[in-house]
Amino acid sequence: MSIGHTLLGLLEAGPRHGYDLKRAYDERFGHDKPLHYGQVYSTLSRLLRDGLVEVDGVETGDGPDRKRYAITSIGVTDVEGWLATPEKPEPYLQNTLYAKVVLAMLSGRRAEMVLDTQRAAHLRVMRQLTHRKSKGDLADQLICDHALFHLEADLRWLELTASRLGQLAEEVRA
Amino acid sequence: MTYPGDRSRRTLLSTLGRWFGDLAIGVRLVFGGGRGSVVRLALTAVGVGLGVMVLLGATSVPHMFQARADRDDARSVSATIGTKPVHGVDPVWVAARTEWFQHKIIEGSLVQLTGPNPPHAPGVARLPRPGEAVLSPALANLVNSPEGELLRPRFSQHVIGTIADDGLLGPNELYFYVGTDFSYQDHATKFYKFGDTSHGRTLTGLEWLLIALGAATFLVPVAVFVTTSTRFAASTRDRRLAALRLIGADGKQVRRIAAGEAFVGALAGLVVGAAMFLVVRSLVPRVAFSVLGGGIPAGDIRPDWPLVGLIAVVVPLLAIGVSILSLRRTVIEPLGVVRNAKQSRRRLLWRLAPVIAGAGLLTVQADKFSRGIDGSGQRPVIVGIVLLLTSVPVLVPWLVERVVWRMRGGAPSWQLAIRRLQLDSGSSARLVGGVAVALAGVIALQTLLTVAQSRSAPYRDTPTTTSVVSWYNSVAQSERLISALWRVPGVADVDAEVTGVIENEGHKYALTKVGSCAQLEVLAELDRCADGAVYYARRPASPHTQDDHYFVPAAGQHVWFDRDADRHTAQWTIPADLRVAGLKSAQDSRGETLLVTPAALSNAVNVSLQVNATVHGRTDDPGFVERVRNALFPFGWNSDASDSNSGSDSTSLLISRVLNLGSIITLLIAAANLTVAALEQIRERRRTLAILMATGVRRAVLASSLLWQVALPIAVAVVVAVAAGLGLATLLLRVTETPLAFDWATVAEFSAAGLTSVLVVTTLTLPSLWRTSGAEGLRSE
Amino acid sequence: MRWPPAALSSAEAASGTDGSAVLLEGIELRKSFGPTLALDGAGLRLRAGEVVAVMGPSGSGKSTLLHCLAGILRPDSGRVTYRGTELTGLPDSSLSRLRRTEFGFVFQFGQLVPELTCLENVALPLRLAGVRRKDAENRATEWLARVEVGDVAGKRPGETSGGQEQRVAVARALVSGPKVVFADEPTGALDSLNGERVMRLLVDASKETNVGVLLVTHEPRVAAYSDREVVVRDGISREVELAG
Ligand SMILES: Nc1ncnc2c1ncn2[C@@H]1O[C@H](COP(=O)(O)OP(=O)(O)OP(=O)(O)O)[C@@H](O)[C@H]1O
Ligand SMILES: [Mg+2]
Repeated sequence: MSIGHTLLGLLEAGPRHGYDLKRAYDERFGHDKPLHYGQVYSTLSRLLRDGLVEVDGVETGDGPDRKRYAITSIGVTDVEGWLATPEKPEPYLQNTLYAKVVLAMLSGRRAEMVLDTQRAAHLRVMRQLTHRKSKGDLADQLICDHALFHLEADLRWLELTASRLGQLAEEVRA
Repeated sequence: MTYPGDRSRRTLLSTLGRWFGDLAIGVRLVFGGGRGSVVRLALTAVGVGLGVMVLLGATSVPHMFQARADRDDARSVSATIGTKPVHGVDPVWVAARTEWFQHKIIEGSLVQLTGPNPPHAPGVARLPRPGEAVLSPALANLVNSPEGELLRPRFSQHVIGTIADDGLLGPNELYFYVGTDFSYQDHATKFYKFGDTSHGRTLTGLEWLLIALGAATFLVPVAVFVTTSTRFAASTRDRRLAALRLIGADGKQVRRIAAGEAFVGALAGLVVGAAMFLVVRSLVPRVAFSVLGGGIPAGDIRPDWPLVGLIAVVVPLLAIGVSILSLRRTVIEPLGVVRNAKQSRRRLLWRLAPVIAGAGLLTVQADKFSRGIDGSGQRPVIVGIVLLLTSVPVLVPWLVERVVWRMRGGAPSWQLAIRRLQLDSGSSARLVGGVAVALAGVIALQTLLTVAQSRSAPYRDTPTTTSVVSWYNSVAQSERLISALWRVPGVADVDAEVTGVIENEGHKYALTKVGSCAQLEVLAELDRCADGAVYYARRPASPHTQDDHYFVPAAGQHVWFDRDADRHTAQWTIPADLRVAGLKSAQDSRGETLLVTPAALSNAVNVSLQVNATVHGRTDDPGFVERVRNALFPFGWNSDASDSNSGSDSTSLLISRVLNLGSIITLLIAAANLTVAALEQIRERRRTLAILMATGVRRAVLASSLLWQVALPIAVAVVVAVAAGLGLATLLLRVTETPLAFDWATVAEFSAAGLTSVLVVTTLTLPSLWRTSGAEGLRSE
Repeated sequence: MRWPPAALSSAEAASGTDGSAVLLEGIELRKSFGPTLALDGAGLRLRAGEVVAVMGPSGSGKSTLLHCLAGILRPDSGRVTYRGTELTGLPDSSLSRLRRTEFGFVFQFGQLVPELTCLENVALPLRLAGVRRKDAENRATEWLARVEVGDVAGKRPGETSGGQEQRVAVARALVSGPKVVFADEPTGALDSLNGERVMRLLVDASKETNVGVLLVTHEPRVAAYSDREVVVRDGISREVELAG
């Protein structure tokens, strides 16, 4: 899961301090693994270097860092590309997928977009598995079935998440 | 355009083959579905069969009446046919005679043989001699039964045989031949032969309308029954056919398949109807005990074969036509039908067409018709009646839909019913359509009948007042008869008058009144009256009558009483001292009357006088009239006694009897049809109901929802029926220019009967609901 | 930012490289039921021998799209062409003939005629097309055997299991040798194994006899039998492109 893209996505909602970003991240995605400050700053400086974010302003005070970061237009394109790129279908994607759906929604995009591209990618793999299954022996079939069911589970979960969040978004907007 | 697989050149033969194939699929669909379809087919067959039975019965009516009329003719005597001498036949004196007993009519002939070779009377082995009688079996039974006690004095003759069926109108008719020794043959005629040709009287406009309306009331519901029966399980059928549409059956194919289905139902209906007809036919003589004066022999009920052929063609065509017409939605939006989506709303306009056309026809026809019954006015009137009646089942579905359209909410049972009606008001509306149309017809009929009866109703009096008329009496016999009346047990007063008609050589008439001076003085100013005096009384101012048929009696004139052609000598000579007297009041419409005191007739031969008496009884005893009759009997068969209820014009009596009977039969058949339709509806809804039951909905809720589901449409139907019936009656009465009078009690009675019949039928079908909605119902559609 | 409605262009792009002929195509289809807008400019393209999965949430218009493409519903606007012929203007009889001879159906519900035995149900399309009963039933028997439900031939649909019924429906859809099979949730009521069997039948028919299959499904595993998928959302269809 890409911390950089996630932070970028969070910045899309508006400029933030590094500390705020860490808190926002932890709140939404860091249940089991909160980010270290260090990770945040190193990621942000990488993003600064690549021109994906810029420093929006510096406030004087006694904190470790008083810089406020904002996303650049290149950064927005990058987030968009990331959201539109399906994850490589493999087991246990939920963290990334979840982050994508949430961020898509937070940024006013439609969560189904993530779902549909991801489904396409999943289906591509599932088609290959289905094809292999029809050619292979029993062991092959069983292994393929296992993978297929897992991939399907991912998709279904994603579908459900998308529609749940979609509902939520609608309520928020309303 | 053509597609691969579409053979663009099809021969006629293969087209026919495909048609046949489609029909066969339809036939197959009827027989599929195991027991369920068989039951459905059976219900359809019974529904259609009821209609077919009625139709077969209706085609038998003309023959039935013809056979009766023929038998009636055969035993009647006719002055033109029977009086010509026949070689080798000894003529018989015959006088027709009608007796009444407790409002039962007993007809017969008084006969007097003149030799050993009398003419043959139908059904009679040997005509009776004086003191003998031949009675119909029913009359013999009646006379011998305890109820016949008061009749026995009149039929105490030696019974030498019974009348066979060919001498009777119906097996239970009361009829007799009694041998008498006519003291003189004035009122009998010599016949060499029995037999007459019919001379029914022509019908009045109102009567004709009654018959036309009666026939329509009978037949239009039948058409409705047939169509509703072929539409049993319509929604299942529609879904099935719509499913075929989805996989590629085109509109025409679906129609052919539906035709195949309908054809099977109609065919089964024809068979069942014919069977029911045969059963009913064999039951009729037992059931129709006294209908139409004597019941109906089974042999008389014989369908008219050309009409039967027509029925065999029309019923299937009707069934097929209706099922094809009702396919509109299935053909246009099969998906909606399969998915049970809400239908588009019914349109009113074409449904109003029959009402407007019918009412218009009857209105326009009114003038033409009232000017006289020529054939031209009749057909439009019939068409108008049929159109108006047809509009009832056409309008009910639309109205039901309108009524439920905006309804909502309420208790669960109410909601279930309303929603069901909104989704498919057609089934329920069809369910009650038959009852509604029958009801409309019956209401119209009863209204007309009420008017007709009030027109032909005899003078009504208290039941103990008996009118007596006695003919062919001498002066002495008249007096004895009057005193016999005074001796009737329970008599309070006798109001009697003796009159006669005299005839001169020129066959002209004069009226006479016979009585004592005291009696005659009430009528006119009599100058020096004594027994033996004769007065010619007339109103002081009135001039001599100019009427051709009457003569002014003159002193010394030769006159006859009821002059017979072969009597040459005068029966009476008017005394020389004929005086003129002034009438006191204009009691007698004719005014001029010869007032005769008894002694003036002492030299007359074969005096024939008529006694008119009103006998008042002291009690309400309904047997009083019978006792009066029995008191008259010793004087011979020349008297009639009647209370207010006996006697009525036999034609209008017959019509009203038949129509009353028809009304009841129509409603009964409507109820039978309703039962069948209700059972079918429950079958069709079985799955839904089973699911509701399975989810724990209480029976009471289901039952009341079903009741609502029927009660709402029937309420609408009754309203429509009453409106249509009264409207029809109003229009028809306008046609005959008869003042309108509604018999609200009868309307309410029949409406209530219609309403309750529906509710009762629904309640009766509930047990079958509980049976069918078990777990079995869950599985199959 | 809006959901891109550029459905058709992407579909065209996706199948542009495929050499086989376009069988069935719907363009800019719109259909409403009273106030409900079921299709709002959806489209789809199906080639011979191709299995296309139509996916999307419930109520998004998948069935409606399928019904429009099959000539069961007439769209309010838009065009449907089959082998280059526009269907939208055709009279009902031609549409019916098309469904009878060229199309096969496995519906979401209400598909088998309850009065007829399974065998007769399968033979029905042939008989509607005018094939003699004997011949029709012979072919139906073969098909029932192929879908491995030969033993229910004499039973009525009400007396079979859901899975058997569904396979009978597949047999009925294929018996007349259609060019396009429309399958709306054909595995809806089936367990995994039976669902797989039904899908194999459809895919094999597609590959062996070059039938185009339009498959509406919720299940990714079922959709995995397709060659590509079209997503319908709010009455708009969209084909998802993936780079590489
Ligand atoms: N006959 C109809 N009358 C009214 N609305 C209808 C009708 N048919 C479909 N709809 C509506 O059109 C929309 C699309 O329905 P459709 O059946 O195409 O959905 P679907 O994508 O097939 O859903 P599912 O996956 O649940 O089958 C729905 O909102 C539905 O309510
Ligand atoms: Mg659907």
